[in-house]
Amino acid sequence: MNWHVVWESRSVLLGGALVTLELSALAIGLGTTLGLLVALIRTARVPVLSQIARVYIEIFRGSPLLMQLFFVFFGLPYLGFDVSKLAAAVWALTLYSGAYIAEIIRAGIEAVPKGQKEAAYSLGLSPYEAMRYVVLPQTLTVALPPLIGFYIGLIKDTSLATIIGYRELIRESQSIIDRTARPLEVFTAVALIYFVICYPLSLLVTRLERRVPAR
Amino acid sequence: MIEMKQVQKHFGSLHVLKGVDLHVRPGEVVVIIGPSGSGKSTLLRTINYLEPIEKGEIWVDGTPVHQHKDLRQVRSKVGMVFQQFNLFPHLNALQNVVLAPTLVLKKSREEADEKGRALLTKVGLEQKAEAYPGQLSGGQQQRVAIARALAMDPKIMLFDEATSALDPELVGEVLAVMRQLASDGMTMVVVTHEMGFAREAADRVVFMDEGVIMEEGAPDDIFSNPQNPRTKQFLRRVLEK
Repeated sequence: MNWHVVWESRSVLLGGALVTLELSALAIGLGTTLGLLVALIRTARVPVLSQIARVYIEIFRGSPLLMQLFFVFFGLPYLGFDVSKLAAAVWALTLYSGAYIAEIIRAGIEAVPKGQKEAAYSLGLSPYEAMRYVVLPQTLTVALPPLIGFYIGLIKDTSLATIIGYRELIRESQSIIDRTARPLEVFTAVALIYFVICYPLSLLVTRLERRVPAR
Repeated sequence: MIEMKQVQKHFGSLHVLKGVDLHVRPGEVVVIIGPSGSGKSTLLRTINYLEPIEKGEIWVDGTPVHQHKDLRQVRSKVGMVFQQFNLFPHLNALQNVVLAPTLVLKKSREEADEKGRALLTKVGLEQKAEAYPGQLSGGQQQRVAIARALAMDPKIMLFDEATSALDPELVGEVLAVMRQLASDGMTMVVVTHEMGFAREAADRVVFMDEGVIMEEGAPDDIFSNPQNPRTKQFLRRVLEK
């Protein structure tokens, strides 16, 4: 074992880790926004839009993320759109995570008893106000643990962006290995970095699940 | 105040309301009784359009509810209390009470809070303003729910089996608040199995069965001298218990 290699490459590894964090944050933020929107369309049963939402969910949950990355990266230029590697990675991860997050949030919305909405309507709240002030806050307590669980998976899935040549953590570590021929040491360090990013989120899930929702 | 004409509704193939006429005057307390499945809760829920109707007309304070117009305005004038309380579990008692006044009536926070505390005092829960629904007994929750409905200054209050989900020893405190409201002159439509309340607090008792109003009249007449054989049979069964 030669840990010296890892120490010498520390700035490259940390740079890769930051890129992974950036990609994760973008995918989580945009994917959650998209997912919330799609979930609202699905639960409100908006005609046409809700069918489109359903097809979208089925397609992106039913195909490998790797393929989706290829399709965005190679497909969009084919259609005349110029996409950077970052944009392609963010687009693919957003579309992929949006489909899963939509279903997590929808399940949370549907777990709120029907009487809650009726009480809100009977007080004169509009459908928007009922959703915003009564249903969604309760959805959050139900949906947050599975949501964070999904985020953890998503952070690890950003590593797939290496396949389109995006210089995130895995890609950077590959180039260190190419230079030093020390895969075991470098990958151990990489695994540790992913763990340091993901473990606090796991702890958060455990804490949230222990908290019994007040009812 | 409420005018229902030939109201009809189906649940699938089940004909739950078979042409109901009901007229409620301002300040009147109407109590609807009848066996389970008779359509009385459904009838109540059509008044603020929680249940859409297929045929007939419903006018609430001059607004045609059956035309699905100005629904928010009608609903803000009609308070409703549910069997399962339906308090918002993520908000404390006071927040439950002030939510609609601040959103719908655009009241300031201070004004809504002041009125909210006054209403919680009225239902005997001034000490529980900061408690969450999960920390309150069923009777306390239902009293908060009544305060929440009253915060909108409704002209009409609807009670949908408001005491049916309560432990027997908690029924009294909720009925006391309802009696107080009735004697304050509130227009009320009450669906209940509490025959004592119907006898004492009602101006008029309506007996429903199989989706129609079988008989209606002053409580004394209905309870002491029912005319319809179905009414007789129903009262004999519930009063024996």
